[in-house]
Amino acid sequence: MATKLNNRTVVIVGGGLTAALVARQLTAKGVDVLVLERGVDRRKAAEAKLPNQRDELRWDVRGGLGQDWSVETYTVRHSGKEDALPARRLAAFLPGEGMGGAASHWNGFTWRWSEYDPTLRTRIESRYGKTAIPPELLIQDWGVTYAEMEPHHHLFEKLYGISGKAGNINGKLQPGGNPFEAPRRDEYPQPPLEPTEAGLIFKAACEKLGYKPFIAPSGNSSGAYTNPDGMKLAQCQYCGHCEKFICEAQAKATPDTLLYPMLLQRKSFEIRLQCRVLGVDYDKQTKRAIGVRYVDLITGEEYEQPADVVVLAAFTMSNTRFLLMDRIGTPYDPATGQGVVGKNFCYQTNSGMNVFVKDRWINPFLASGSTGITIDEFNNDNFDHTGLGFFGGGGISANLTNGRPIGNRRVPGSTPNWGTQWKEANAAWYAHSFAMQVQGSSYPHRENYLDLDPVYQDAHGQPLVRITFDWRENDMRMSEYCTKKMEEIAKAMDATSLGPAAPRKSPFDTRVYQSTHITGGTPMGADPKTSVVSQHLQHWDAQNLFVVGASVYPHNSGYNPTAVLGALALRLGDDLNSYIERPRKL
Amino acid sequence: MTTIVRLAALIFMVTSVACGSSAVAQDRERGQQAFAACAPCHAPDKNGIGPRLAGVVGRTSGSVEDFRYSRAMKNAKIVWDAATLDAYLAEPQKVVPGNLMPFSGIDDAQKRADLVAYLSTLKATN
Repeated sequence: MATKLNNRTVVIVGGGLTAALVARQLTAKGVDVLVLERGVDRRKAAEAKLPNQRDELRWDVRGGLGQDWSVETYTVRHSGKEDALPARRLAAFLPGEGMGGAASHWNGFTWRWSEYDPTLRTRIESRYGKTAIPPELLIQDWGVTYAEMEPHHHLFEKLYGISGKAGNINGKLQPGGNPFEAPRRDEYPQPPLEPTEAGLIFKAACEKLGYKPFIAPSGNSSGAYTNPDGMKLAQCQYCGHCEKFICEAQAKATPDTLLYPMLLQRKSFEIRLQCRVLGVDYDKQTKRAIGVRYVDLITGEEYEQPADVVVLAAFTMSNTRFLLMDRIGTPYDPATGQGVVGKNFCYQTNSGMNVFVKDRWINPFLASGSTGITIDEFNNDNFDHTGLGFFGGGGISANLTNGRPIGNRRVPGSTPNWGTQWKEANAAWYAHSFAMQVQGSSYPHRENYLDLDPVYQDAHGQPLVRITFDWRENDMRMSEYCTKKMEEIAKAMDATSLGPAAPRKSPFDTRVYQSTHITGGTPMGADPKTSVVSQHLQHWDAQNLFVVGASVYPHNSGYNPTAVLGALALRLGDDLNSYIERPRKL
Repeated sequence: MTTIVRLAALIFMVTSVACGSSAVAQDRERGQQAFAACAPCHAPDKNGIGPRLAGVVGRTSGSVEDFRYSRAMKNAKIVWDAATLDAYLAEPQKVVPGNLMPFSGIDDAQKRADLVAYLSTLKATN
């Protein structure tokens, strides 16, 4: 029997980035907030301290900071005709666990997306015609504009002390910045990071071809920084242990460095750790969320936690899962195209290639998580798609994030996979090679979706999320096009040799890490027929239930998703303050 | 504008005289600014990611009782003074190899001098 607890004003499911930002806005007004997080506080643990922090095997290869796959995994299939099977050890993406969530092991790329991203359907239709988007691509507008999000982007960047070089201030292009950047009101809070040698080689080649390379905006702090809350960041030491690691130098903007320590000082804030939420109690009659059910993972005791407002701020997959398990909203059916929960599941269509330059010292170990030089000429709809047969695009970059010894073994293609020659090639090329990347958009496809697996369950007896996903025609064509552009840049580098430029191809492989940028499942929008939550992230079928996270993205752009998360979460915090004053449909 | 600068300089001189040396007063202020690089981990009066720094000048390395140091720092047995702090802040890993402070050092000698001047003002409270 579950113990029923006293009512709380706002209960947030999941203690990651979005929860912290929503809580920041609410607790600033004294609103009572309770966060339920399944993981622990790692700030004083081995993973946050030298020398254990540098354990590549433990934190990177074995994914020590991520979701425990023995407790919960996902089942995967490529189409509705196949049987899905559970991934025993998923490597493709890394859901977080613990205070800070996946945002504590991120790399730091902090892009505002293209100005037209939230109105993508309108943009494509107005540029290429009303019938340009094929019916299987479920591209839709978000119900919000970039201009509405800008103030929240601004605040998020200030809180996170983002390092970068503006490319577009109030519509005026800035030399050295990204000419395709959505207009911003001012410079970044901190100057950009130091470029890497790989970045400089890439930059020179791009300039030779007439492109406009720029240094990517980053959550790795270029200097000592104090944010508006008085929280501090130290200067990045370029140690190359960023993504999949906790920064021991306090130089990476994360919820556990900048947000939770501040929240824990606030009277109306509480976080309960090692509490795993099992579901949302939903009253179908009144169309209201009553509260949540959770299990204390230490004692095994179950609790009912009533709340005035429930916010789902868990990982992308989990947000969708709660709504499906508790039957809130209509599940998406790919056969009829009806229903919404689980729809618009997207990923990131990446590809890469290796570059070997004998006479340049790349020294890959000297890097931060997001010291990248990028061009945006072929990202999203920054170029004319007439006659190309696809929509979308990708940022092309040389982002050298680390030179860790297990994961970084770039050797020319002719090298055998083991033995003396392999060792010699390693020694010869470790310091003289780097990788280039295309980070491509991923557009919603009718057959890519999430639902509950009919067979497999997690350790708590709850159904696993079933992923039906593959690279579909549109994204593969995009990848082919952008990968070719990347290859042209590589050829302009005077490199000793180049690895193959392989575009992303079906089938989707869960065994290889690609990026944690999975999005969708609970898309936002202005139309309840095609979205789970409104443009204010309010559930269409439960007025006091809100969903925040990348699960609300109707599509994924050719950028990392974090900055948009930050802006949406801060906006939701402000919206909730207004809702709590006067509960209503926002 | 110049009047304000002169006035400020005058006040500065007066306070400097009171402190006994103009160089220290100047250094201390800049040193306090330079301390921003240390502040994410170090505070004067309480342990954070790094040990508290009140009373660091004159203290033996690795001796704050309630802070968990690396073996390297515990065994270093350096007495922190202007010279040893300057060397350490220039290249922490060279002076105490294997210590766990995730900081690569300060190249600028003037900045180090300023910082040491600031640290010397942080007196132990007990």
